[in-house]
This record gives sequence, C-alpha cells and structure tokens, in this order.
Amino acid sequence: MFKVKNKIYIFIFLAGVFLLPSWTLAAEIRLETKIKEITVGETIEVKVFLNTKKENINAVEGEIIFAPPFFLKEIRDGNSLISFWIKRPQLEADSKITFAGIIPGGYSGTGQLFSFVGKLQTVGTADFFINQGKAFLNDGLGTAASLSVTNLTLAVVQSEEKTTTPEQKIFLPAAPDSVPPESFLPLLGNEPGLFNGQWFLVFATQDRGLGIDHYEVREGDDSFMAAESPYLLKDQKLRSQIWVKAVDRAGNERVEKMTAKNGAVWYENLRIWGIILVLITLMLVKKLCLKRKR
Amino acid sequence: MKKQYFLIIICFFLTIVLSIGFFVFMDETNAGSSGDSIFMTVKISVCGNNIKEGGEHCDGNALGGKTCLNLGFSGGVLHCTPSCEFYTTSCITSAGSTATPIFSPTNGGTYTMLNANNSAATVNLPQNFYTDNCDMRMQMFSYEKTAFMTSKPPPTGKNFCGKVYDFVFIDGSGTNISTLAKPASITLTYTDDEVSGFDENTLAPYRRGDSDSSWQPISGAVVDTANNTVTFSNTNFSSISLIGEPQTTSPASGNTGGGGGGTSSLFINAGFSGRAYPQSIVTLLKDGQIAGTVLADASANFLINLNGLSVGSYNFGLYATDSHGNRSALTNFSSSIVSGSNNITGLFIAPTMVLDKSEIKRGEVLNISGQTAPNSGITIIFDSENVFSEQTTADKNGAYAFSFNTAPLGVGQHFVKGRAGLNGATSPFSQTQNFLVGTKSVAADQNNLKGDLNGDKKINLVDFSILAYWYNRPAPLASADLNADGKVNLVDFSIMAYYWTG
Repeated sequence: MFKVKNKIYIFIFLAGVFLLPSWTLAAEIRLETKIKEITVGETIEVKVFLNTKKENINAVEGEIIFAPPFFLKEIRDGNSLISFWIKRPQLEADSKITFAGIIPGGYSGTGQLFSFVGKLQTVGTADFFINQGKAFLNDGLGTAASLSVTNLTLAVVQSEEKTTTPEQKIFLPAAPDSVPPESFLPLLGNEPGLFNGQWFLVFATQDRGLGIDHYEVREGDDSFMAAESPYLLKDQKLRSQIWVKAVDRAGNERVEKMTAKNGAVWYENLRIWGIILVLITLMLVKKLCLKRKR
Repeated sequence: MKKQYFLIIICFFLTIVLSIGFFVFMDETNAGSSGDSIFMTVKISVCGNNIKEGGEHCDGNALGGKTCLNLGFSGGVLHCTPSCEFYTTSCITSAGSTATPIFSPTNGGTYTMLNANNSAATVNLPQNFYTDNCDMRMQMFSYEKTAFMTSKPPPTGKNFCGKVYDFVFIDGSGTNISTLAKPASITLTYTDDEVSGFDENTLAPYRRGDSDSSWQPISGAVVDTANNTVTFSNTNFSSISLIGEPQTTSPASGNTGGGGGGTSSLFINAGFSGRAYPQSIVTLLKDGQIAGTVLADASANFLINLNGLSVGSYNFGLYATDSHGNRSALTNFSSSIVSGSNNITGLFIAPTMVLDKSEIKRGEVLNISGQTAPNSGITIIFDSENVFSEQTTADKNGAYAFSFNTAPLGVGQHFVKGRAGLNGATSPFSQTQNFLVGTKSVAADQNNLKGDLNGDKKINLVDFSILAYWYNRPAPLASADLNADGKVNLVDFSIMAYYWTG
C-alpha cells in the first residue's frame, strides 16, 4: 500500500516537473523541422515560430546558433508575423542567424517568424540553439515577457543509415510565387539626428510568398538603383518624383510612386517662360511704336 | 497740365471715400420722419457686426445655421473669418485631399485637384455658370474608395476606379448650391495602378446625391484610355466617381504589382465591420501601414472594405480617433485571407481614455474621460497596490466621464485602463494611462505622443527608422530613448510599437 502511494506521489511530482512549464504563461520561441533525422548533404528547412501563450507580444529578438556549421542556402521571411524588421534575419560569422523585429499593436497566438534552409555535412548530432531571446509585452511600458525557448537537435546520418522512409520529405521546395509584394507607402523623413537633418526616404513592405529580396529607388530621370531604408535622397530640394520598387525572391515586383513634394522650380515651368516671352514681345512692340511716332 | 490731372485724381478718390463713409453711416438706420417724407430702410452688409447679412457667409458667431456638415465635412467646429467667410480649419474630414477654390460666376474658371498618387480632378466652369455676382466657393474632397463602401457602395459587380470626389458649392451668402445654371466640364484622371484589374472600356463617371439610393451614370462621357482621362459635363453636384467592371481575363504581365497586382489580387477583398464611436475616424492598418480610413456613422458602426489582397495570413490593426482627437489603443488581429470575399465582423474598438492630471495631490479628484460606443458600460481598472475597478456608462454620444477620489491610493505610480461592454460584447482595453500620486497636482500634457520622434503627430515608419538608426548605438538621441535608460534597444521599440499610428 505504502509503495503504491509512493509511486503516486512520484508520478504526481514528475508530472508536475514536466507539465509545469507548459502551464506557465511564458511566450515561446520554437525551432521545428518535419523530422529529426537527416542525411549528410540533405537540404532541410528549419522554421522559427513564436507562440505568445496568450500574452500580447510586440517585439522579439534573438539569435540562432548552429553546431556544427550549417551550410545556409537561404532565409525565408515571407508571410512573417513581423511587420518591421529592426534586424532582418541574417547570417553572422557563418555560425549564427540574428534577428529583431516589431509587430505594431502586438500579436497573440502562434505564428512563424521566418525559416532558414540549408544542409549539414558532418555525421553526428546537429544542434540549433536559440540564444539571447527576448520578447516584450504590448503594454506601452516595455515590459519583458517571460520567454522560453525550444531548441532543435537533429541526427545526421549517412544516407544508407537513414531510418526515415523516402516518402517522408523533409524539405519541400517553395511553391511557385507569382504574387508581388504588398502595396506600401514610402514616406519622407527629416530629422536632425539622422543624416545631419537631410531628407530621407523610408519604405517597407511584406511579401506573402518567399519574402522580399531587395528594394530599388529611382529619383527623377535617374534609373533604379538598389537601396535600403532609410535612403538618403540625392535631390534634397524634393523636386523629383520618386519611385520605390520592392522585389521579392521570385522576382515579382511592386512599384510605388511618390510625387515630388516641392514640384519643379519656376524656371522649369514652361508656362512662365511663355508669359515672359509674351511680355518681352509686348515691350518690344511698344518700343517700336514709340520710335515710329517720333 | 500735370497739376490738373492730379486734382482730378484727388477729387475722384475723395468722392469714393465720402460715398463709402455715407453708406457705412447709414447702415441699418431707419430713415424716418414725419409729414410727407418717404420712409425707407437702407440695409447694407457690414462685416464685423455679428449679424449675418446678404453677401456674407457668416459674421462672427452668426453662421446662418451652417455647420461643418453643410460644407461637406464629417464634423468639427465651423468658424468665421474676419472677412465673413467660412473658416473650416477645425472641421474634420477623412478625405485624403481637400481644396477650396473660389470662382467668379461671371468669369468662370478652372481648378485641378491633384492627388498624391498623381490622379486628378479638373473642374472647368464656364462664364455665367451661376446667376449671382458674388464669388462662389467650391469645397472639393478626394476620398479613398473605402470611405464610400458603407455609405454609398458601388453598383453590384462594379467597383470604384480610383478616388471618389465630393463637391459642395456655396454661394456668396453661404447657401448650398446643388445645381448650376450652366454645366461644368469635369475631367477625372486616373492612374495605371488604379485601373489595373478593371476592364477599361467599362469605365464611366457616376454621380450620387445624398438623397439618391444608387449611383447614376453620367451620359456623354469621353473616355481617353491612352491618356487615362474621362471627360464629361455635369450640372448637378455631390459625389462623383469613375466606376468600372473587373477584367474577365488575366493581364498579360503576371508578375508585376505596380500598385494593384493582377485581377485575382485586386478582387480579393475583405470587409471589416464593427463598432467604434459616433462620427469617429476609424483607421485600418495592414502590416503596420495605413490601408484605409472610414468615418463611423452616428451609431458608431463602421465598415471598411479593402481590395487588392493576396491569399495568405495578414496582421490587421484598427484604431479610432474620437471627437476630441484622442486615439484609441491599436488593436491587432490576424486573419487568413482566402480567395474571393472575406468578412471580418464584430470588431469592437477600444475606448479612448484621457486623464486630466499626470500627477495628483493625494485626496484630490482625478478626472477620467473618453469615448466609446453609445450607451456602453465602461469598466475602469486601477492597477495600484491592489487591482480594483469602477463602473460608469457612456452617454448617447459615447462620451463618458468618471471622477475618482485618489484618497485611498498610496503615494507613487499608478496605472489605469478601461474597456467597454455592450450587448454582451466586450472591447479590448484602452491605452494604459499612468499617473503619479504625490504632493502636488500637474495637468496632463495631452499633446505628448510617445514615440513621435519627428513631431509629426504620427508614429510610423519614419519614427521607426530614426529609432533603428540609434539601435544599440552609444549616446543615443534623448528623444529616441523612450524609457530614458540611456540606450536604445528592443524595449524602446516595444514602447513605440504600442503607440503606433501607421
């Protein structure tokens, strides 16, 4: 009887230990793949999810560290929860991906932050750690949310050793993406603390497919040039029309146009030249008439 | 000879001055006498006497019964200039552009309203377009199509192509004129982006008066598809727009957005409806950027339609601006958009909340006010040493006010927020307000917008970019350090994201 009681207590204790984390309201950043065993050289996609666990989160950052080296092929940030990236997911020092971004108004639920695709070339265990993870509540005070992380461990084997059936595809190439990036509104800015108070242009948009590849800006008669936001304008007098092109990773484009804030100067207005010409002609005619009278 | 001319000019001006003086003296005087004299009343408009007379829109506080609504605005306070003309700076509108050109009815004239996206409306009024000698004022408004989806939706199977315009004519005496003596020639210019996804051959101008039940096509229009213009004549004014039908085949270039996307994208739409505050401006954000604004009706109901969406998951955000210009908390929601029409209903925008003091002497009364849907119950939650709540009710205009005696509160920082409830539905919480209980009272600064780094009263991508510049940099700009901890990090971005306006 005593033994049975003890077993019950131990069971309750262990259940408490294992289940407690899931009962708490800590938001979670989680790494996921379809399967946990891959072969050397096989391409995999690792997805990075945010589960807010009923909290309302509006800012998140962190880094993902690989061990052993992960041969990164691409990072996909299309259809992300993040509206504006402070630090777009990018590879740093060949060993980690860093990211930081915000969701104005906050987010509650589970959604994907981004994913990354690549392969491992070393047999053994591959670990992906989330490091320096931070999330903040949407409360206007910058309160740090309690955050847990779920790392990822994969078994990397030679192909002949693989126990997974071939039907279990671990990486599906992205579906054809023919949808252009979302419409957006480029904005002009002017702030003494930035670019020494010169005019700059800001822009950002989302892509529902593979993600934004790059932006290009065209001022007036110039051609499109690759650009990043914020973009220091060449025409500080703001007399040129501006076009901003967002190009996604499938090559789809979205072009937004801004009319010149200040328009053309007077000497670029042909009407004014017309009026001046008429006035000069009238003055000459008058002068001629006066000469004839004399 | 020169002297003679000089004398003539002096005499001429003297005569004019004397005549003016005579008429001013005679203003509103009753010339009466006995016997066989003729009784007559001489009445001349005198601007500045606080009496609205002929030839004046208004005079001082005498507005002739007119409000901002009569001039085509959605609300606000109408004023009168010292020259007795309507002054509409304090009037409210959700229009993207407004203009007030003045025309002489005798001479006519032309005015072009150019929109930010390069679309335009040109009104050409002929000579003697109206039987009055006083100058005519035209109030011109340019709206995004979403602003009309509720109040004046397009005919079934059709959609607005580009902007929707409202025209209001006011004569010299401040009277609204809906019909002109001679037709005006109007040219509406649309952009390639606006017409993307439409069958351009179906474009036609439509008109709809406030009392009309549907949009009526204006006949005789010339559609110039090469130059993207539609020109037509019109005598009756109110709402005017180009309306067209969607393309039935896909465009040739499949992968260039150019602002509109392909046909499939343009006609994937979503309707967002719910409750805000009466006559409040409701703003919809898509991925943190403004996607549309609409004016809620007198019962606080709103509907925003959004076109050009793609299939996928979106983060939408909603907020409303109340009658005092205060903004509600931004409420976000995620939606999976599917092909065709999507309806997101039952949205209940958080109430606005304003405190009259940022610091208050313990025991004094803190006044809390704001706006929500009419007759809603308001739960005000105080987050102090203990969390407790108070209840009040909004009036028929959605306004609420609550006076709270701070005697039970301890010295220190306290937080307060509120939510509305109506017919079983509950709104999200208002923005959290904080106040300090201490030894003195300090009026709250209602103009302080946290996160507005460039001072344009908006918190958007420009402010985000300024903050991003200072991210993790040493010695950041003081205004960028939103929590004043000497550094710009994710905490500051979180604060900015909370106050975001798009």
